Amino acid sequence: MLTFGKKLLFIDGAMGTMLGETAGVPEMLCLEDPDRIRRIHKSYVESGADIITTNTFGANRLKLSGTGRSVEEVVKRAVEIAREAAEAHAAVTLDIGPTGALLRPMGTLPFEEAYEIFAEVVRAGKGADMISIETMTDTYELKAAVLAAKENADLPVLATVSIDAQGRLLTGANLASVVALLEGLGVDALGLNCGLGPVQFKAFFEELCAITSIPIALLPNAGLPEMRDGETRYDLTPVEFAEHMRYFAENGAHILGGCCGTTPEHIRLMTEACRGITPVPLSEKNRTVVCGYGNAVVIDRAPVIIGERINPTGKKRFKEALKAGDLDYILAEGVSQEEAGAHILDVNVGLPGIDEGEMMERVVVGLQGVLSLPLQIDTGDAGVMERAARLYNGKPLFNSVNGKAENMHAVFPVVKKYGGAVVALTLDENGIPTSAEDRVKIADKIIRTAAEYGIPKHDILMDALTMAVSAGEGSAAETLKAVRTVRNVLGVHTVLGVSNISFGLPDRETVNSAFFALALENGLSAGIINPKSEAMMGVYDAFCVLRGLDADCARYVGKYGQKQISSTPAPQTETSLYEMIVRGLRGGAYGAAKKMLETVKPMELVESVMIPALDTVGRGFEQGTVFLPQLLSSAETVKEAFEAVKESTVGENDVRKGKIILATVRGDIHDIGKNIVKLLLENYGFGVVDLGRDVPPEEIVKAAMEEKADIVGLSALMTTTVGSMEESVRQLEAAGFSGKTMVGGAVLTEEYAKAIGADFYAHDALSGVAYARQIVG
Amino acid sequence: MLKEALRYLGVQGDADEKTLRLVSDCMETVKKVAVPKSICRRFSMHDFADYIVGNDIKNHLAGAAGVAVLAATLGISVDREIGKNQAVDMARAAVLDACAAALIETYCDENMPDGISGVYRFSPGYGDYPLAMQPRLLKAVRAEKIGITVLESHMLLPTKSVTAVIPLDKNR
Repeated sequence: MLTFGKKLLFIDGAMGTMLGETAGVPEMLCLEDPDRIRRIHKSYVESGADIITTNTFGANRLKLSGTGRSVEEVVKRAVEIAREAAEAHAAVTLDIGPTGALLRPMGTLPFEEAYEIFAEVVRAGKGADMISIETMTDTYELKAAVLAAKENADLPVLATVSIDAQGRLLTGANLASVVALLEGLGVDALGLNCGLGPVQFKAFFEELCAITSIPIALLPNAGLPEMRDGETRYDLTPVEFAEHMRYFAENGAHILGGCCGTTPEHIRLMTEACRGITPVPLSEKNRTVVCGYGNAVVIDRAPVIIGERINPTGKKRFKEALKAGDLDYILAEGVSQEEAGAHILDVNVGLPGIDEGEMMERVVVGLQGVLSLPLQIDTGDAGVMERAARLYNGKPLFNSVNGKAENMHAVFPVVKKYGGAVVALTLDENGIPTSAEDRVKIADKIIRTAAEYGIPKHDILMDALTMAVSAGEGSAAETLKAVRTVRNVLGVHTVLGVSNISFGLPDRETVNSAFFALALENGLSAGIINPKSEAMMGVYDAFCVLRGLDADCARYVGKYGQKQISSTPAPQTETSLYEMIVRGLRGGAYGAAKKMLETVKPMELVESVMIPALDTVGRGFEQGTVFLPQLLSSAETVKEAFEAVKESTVGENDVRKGKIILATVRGDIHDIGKNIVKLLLENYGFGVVDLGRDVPPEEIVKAAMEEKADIVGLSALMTTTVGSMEESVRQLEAAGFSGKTMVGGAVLTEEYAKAIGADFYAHDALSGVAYARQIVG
Repeated sequence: MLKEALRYLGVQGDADEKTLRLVSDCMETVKKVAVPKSICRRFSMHDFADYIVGNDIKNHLAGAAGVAVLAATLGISVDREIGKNQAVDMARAAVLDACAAALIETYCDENMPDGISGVYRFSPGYGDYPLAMQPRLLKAVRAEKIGITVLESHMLLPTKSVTAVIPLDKNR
């Protein structure tokens, strides 16, 4: 078995460069011209490579489709050829490159399908000595590949990513996120390949050395590409390349090789230049890091804010949204917490009567479609935790484990396998101890047990538990003492659900913010709070200033200095709701509606104020005096007012009329048009079920029949996806759907809509609304 | 660019001040979140022959000494920003979408091969040049290096991405 980190290992150089421009699929040469591939491998072995890479970069089912050959055939043969060339002189690594497709939710490839694509390659290539996952530019795809490698073979895994000149992956992750993700998933070595040359790698290499605890691999291109006489050349000579590689070997790299533009000559000079160098020994960096697909959140000296708002506990409206599967409401809750300054978002969707696992998956994927903040997966069910962990893009924070043996036994394997950090509650079979000492004892037990599962101290955030101060006057002091001891004596980061402290008291925010300040001063690393509370964020911001964690008070001044200058006056109280809607002043609409609902029935408010106001704007839009952004601002204002209406009708019969299903058809992912229609329909009081984008006809039919929809509205942007629209209309008809079909989208026309059998062509969002009013009434 | 964005939004004549402010604010946001990238490859007329399908592309390239294929994208972060705003502020989302559409065009203008300007860019889907050329052009320039992917429907992802065929040294 190969071991990394002890001595320098050399991987070969480029395969593609040696093959030159080939028409067709280069991996097919394993079958069509094995001698040529074998010769290339052989020349790298002769150049001193310890490891040669199979010609399987794109040997996955997506890229091989149309070749008539199976992944198994190509990959198996590729490994054999490499093995033949390597003989006893080199090891063979199974090469795995990206699928070439973008994963959901940004693209259309489901995570589990990406996993399956990689798993197929891994199973076929198990005869290799290790696996190289390389040139990855998306953390999510990277995770699918690593899971597939680890679950389908028992081989060491090297994972390398390709970054741009800013040190980022194409989908947004920085290096700290990549390292957190890969170390969490338990790869054996990680690093960089392709994209840049060794000169450009240097700064990122230093960063990797500072944050990585496992062996580092570097496989740069032979410099930067330049076009000369219609050909791509790289700007370093093999000698220069080798010199740079020696620098890496002397300063912390463990595995070296080449990517685009490198040849056996580069590898030969590199191995010669590095001969005799003993690599820098590995060292544990003990960093506490979580991440989504963007920037990592490092928990270090400065405390972080965990937003607590995505949680149904005690929130009627949130419960309604969960029951109705209203993802937008939850996403908006996430976005507003990010804007308020949260660093991590807690996600709790546990509610009797809903399938928590399914909902957790939907919400996690939904949030990760729009927000790069790390998520804290909050559930008491280890099964739900695992489902979310698998689909999560990045390194998650789990909430929570506790000191009960059974609980640790269920949760720690999930944390270990998916490489998360975990919130640990200091309670066990005997409940919550009163004294700080006893809570610290449990903390110690949890840390020791975690270590048995291979989970290091730095991946634990200890929650010493906030108890309501109204239940016992000494309780706050005990919690603070436990926080202090855990942080200073056990050397573990701490977290608290801060607002529990004021349970049962009036004016809770005052108590919460004072307790938050005390907890921060006693060593709190992460506060689970409501980031939309100005008082709480004020405490946090001031603490950072006072503790010297906000250099030159820059962040503080940026946030609060500006606020005073440009604070926009609140809409005047005299402005009526009608006027607010017409002018698109969403800020005061909720309050105005709330006030009116004291005297007016919800339905009446909708019918006599909100809809007439929208109609006024709509007429302006049709006459060309009001433009789309204004129409939508008005609609958003109605949406705010509708929140008040929904709150006052929670648990009562729905005030919404009819049922309209909306979908952007299969193959089509541009859904802003459909979403505009949805917003307007909802604000005219219609019940809308949104199936999302890239929706197959079968799913549309199923929803239409189940919901007994009055109207199915379909959107398509491209001439190529109008076919899916036609198919959807046809299948609806075949299934005996008795409602109406309405279609719209950039390339559609009245004639075309008729030709595909739709009942109505909506040339814009408002015409769709007019039709809905005519049909549903 | 603001003018283009307003046109995409269907704003004719003078927009009100609030709309103008929103558009210029959104343009700033799009510029901030975008991670624009482009990649270009030149072909001789002979090597490009395979990519000529239909009459319109033929006319477009008539008299050219060579061809450049350009692929450009604003990156997935722009799609995310538009998506995020759809959850909280649809007006803003629609304006961001229009601003991004305007920005990718400007970005292409600024990244034409050899810095040429005033030359029309021709893309799959124009005239009779089939959308089905999209994957082939992307492959020809190795657009996956800059993160452009294509769906079976030939739709590009990230959505604010462009491929274009550009005549070189026309009638020299």
